[in-house]
Amino acid sequence: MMDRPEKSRQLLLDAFINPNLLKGLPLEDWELLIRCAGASKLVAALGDKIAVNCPTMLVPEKVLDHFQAAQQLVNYRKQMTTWEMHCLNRALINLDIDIVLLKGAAYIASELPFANGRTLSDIDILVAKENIEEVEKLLSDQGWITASLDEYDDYYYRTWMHEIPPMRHRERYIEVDIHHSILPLTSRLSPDPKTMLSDAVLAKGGARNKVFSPVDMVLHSVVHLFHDAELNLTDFRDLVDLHELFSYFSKQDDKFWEKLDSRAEELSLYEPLYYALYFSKSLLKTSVPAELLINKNRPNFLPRVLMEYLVPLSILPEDPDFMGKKVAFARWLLYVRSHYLRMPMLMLLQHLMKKSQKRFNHV
Amino acid sequence: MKIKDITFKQLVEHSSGSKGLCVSIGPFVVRIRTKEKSFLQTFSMLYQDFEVSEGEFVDFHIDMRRPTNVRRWVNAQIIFWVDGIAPFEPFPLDHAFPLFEWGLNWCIGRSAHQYLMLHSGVVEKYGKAIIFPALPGSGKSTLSSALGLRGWRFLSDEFGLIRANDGLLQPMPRPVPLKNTSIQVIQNFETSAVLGPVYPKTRKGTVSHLQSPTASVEQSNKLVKPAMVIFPRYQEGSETIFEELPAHYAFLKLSTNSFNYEVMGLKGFERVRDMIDSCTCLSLTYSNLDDVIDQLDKRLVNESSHDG
Amino acid sequence: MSICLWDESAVVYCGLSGQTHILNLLAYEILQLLQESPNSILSLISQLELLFEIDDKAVLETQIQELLSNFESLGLIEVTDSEN
Repeated sequence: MMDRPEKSRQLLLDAFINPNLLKGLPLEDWELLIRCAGASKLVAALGDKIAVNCPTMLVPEKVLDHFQAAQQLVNYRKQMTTWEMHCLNRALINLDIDIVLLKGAAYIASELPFANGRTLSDIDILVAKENIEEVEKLLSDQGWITASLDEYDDYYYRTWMHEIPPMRHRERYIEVDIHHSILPLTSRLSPDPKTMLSDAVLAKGGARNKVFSPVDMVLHSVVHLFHDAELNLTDFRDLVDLHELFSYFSKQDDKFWEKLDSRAEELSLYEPLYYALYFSKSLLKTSVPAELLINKNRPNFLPRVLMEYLVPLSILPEDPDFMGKKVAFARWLLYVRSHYLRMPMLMLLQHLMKKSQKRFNHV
Repeated sequence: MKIKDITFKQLVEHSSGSKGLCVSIGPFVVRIRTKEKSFLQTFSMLYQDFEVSEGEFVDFHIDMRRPTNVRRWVNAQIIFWVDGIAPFEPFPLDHAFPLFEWGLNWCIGRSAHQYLMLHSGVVEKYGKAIIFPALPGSGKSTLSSALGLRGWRFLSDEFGLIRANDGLLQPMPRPVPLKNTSIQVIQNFETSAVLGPVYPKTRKGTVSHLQSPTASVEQSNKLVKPAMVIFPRYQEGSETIFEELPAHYAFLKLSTNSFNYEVMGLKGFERVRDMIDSCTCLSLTYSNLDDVIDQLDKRLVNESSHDG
Repeated sequence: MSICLWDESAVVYCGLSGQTHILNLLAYEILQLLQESPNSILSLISQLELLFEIDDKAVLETQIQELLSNFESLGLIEVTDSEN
């Protein structure tokens, strides 16, 4: 029999690989699955996946209650996001620039099927760097306020980050992150936002906003997860996004994989793409063509093997009744990695010192 | 099997084991794991009529544990854990029961969106339910408790659960946290009322929990249609005054009384609309519990004869 | 969008913003007319004149203008500039 920690991981993976594997699952396993999906904020996504792929499957009533409740919350966040976008567009109506929706908002606007059960927390948009000041001004004139940051944080955001400090309308809850690039300026990779911006396309349904072309949409998600994120428990759902994006776009366009490969080459994003393809294939059984994984630009042996060991340990939820130290250590290592990738070492030290000084001043 | 049907020794064994003690509380199954005997004593007394659940789907996995630092022993504290998360600061160990109740409210409030959740007391008689939506301090807990003590079915003192799909009321007759002067009011009102320990200096002042009527707990699975929505307000020395409320005003009051009206979107709107359409909506000012109960009874009898 | 009318007041749920609003009878009628079909301000006024037997056209017009702009910012209606 599989031991419990292994079982919790496998249940969640099976559910997203092929929900039909859940047929006849004993009630106690459903319970474990819902707990794990909850830890990864994937309960609604799971419910939606089952409803779409196996409409006739017998699901215990209690489990359906959890799906319904989670979907209700997702619908609410989605409604608030759509409304916020509506208000943003009204506020910027006289500005003749392209506004590109990123991540969750883009998946909704593109009517991607998996967006239905996907939870989202804020809005990310991208505009050309030369327009960002004007956008910020127009929004602050119309009721949006910038998160209150201290001087150092504000300086840090504006000098080194790929976005300005988040803004929020004073009567509403949704935060708007306005980006001018897809990675921090200090980052070890620097894909040119102009190239991606100029290839952006109008979202479906006569929308006013643009979204990235399929390959860029995927690459943005890739970069976000494997270059910018800390790869902890909350990031598994981003891998699920990637799996869904890969599967959807490769079905829509049989040239998708080739296009993705050459775009990654062009933007020098092969390293994070390698990890995305590798983990999506190894964990979620995405049908990634084998030749993409033996690309000459894939990461070096040692970091690669280390990542292949650490990432599944870190991003998959543990059995909540059997939490271990090993997973905590893996998460810590990957946390340090993400900071290392985000900025040069000397700056990292200064930044961490500033942060810790601030922490001590508060005590 | 009810909590009171197992010995305290068995209860301790269950709840300190890895499988924990599973209890049906309204529509939810809660797994409790703890080694704290004083907490279990209070719990087993106030939840004595609730069913021990076996082999059912557990909704909330709660651990009540002491911290691992010095506060384990010195001025001992207790922490509420749910699925490996501790959402609150530690409480003093002797306030473990109010912490559990508060924590369970938190679990339900943030996740049970298969219900429109009202901040309301709910009672039932003659198959007709009355919802008492009100802010804390309006006396709705006292009023619902008093009705429960006079043989009405008690469904909840502050969690009116309206099932999103069909608008039926789901009972959750948990112990009622009586606050400050209400403790004495209920003790004077009914000398046989069973109350738990008195907890001074909680966030809400002094609190003591009232055991729910056995028959009400036994009917936890019996859902009922709402018949009246009454907004109560206790006012010292006042006569019992009922006033009819305009529908749109009742709508506004009822929707803002809900914890999750906005989350429920169109479903929330439809459930509130249906209640306004099908229920008698009144405001109530009162001071004398016996008199209110008498008049509510008459009104329900009248309602029934209208349906006749 | 869902509306229900009780006596002199209506409650409307706006699916776009997720907000619920209370409307008086005039606002309710305007929203109903716009629900049935898109309408220009001028034709709205003439229809409402009949409904409410109003003499002072100017007052009605300002009221309607104001109401429509409120409706728009609440996400209840969309204003297009084809006729204004």
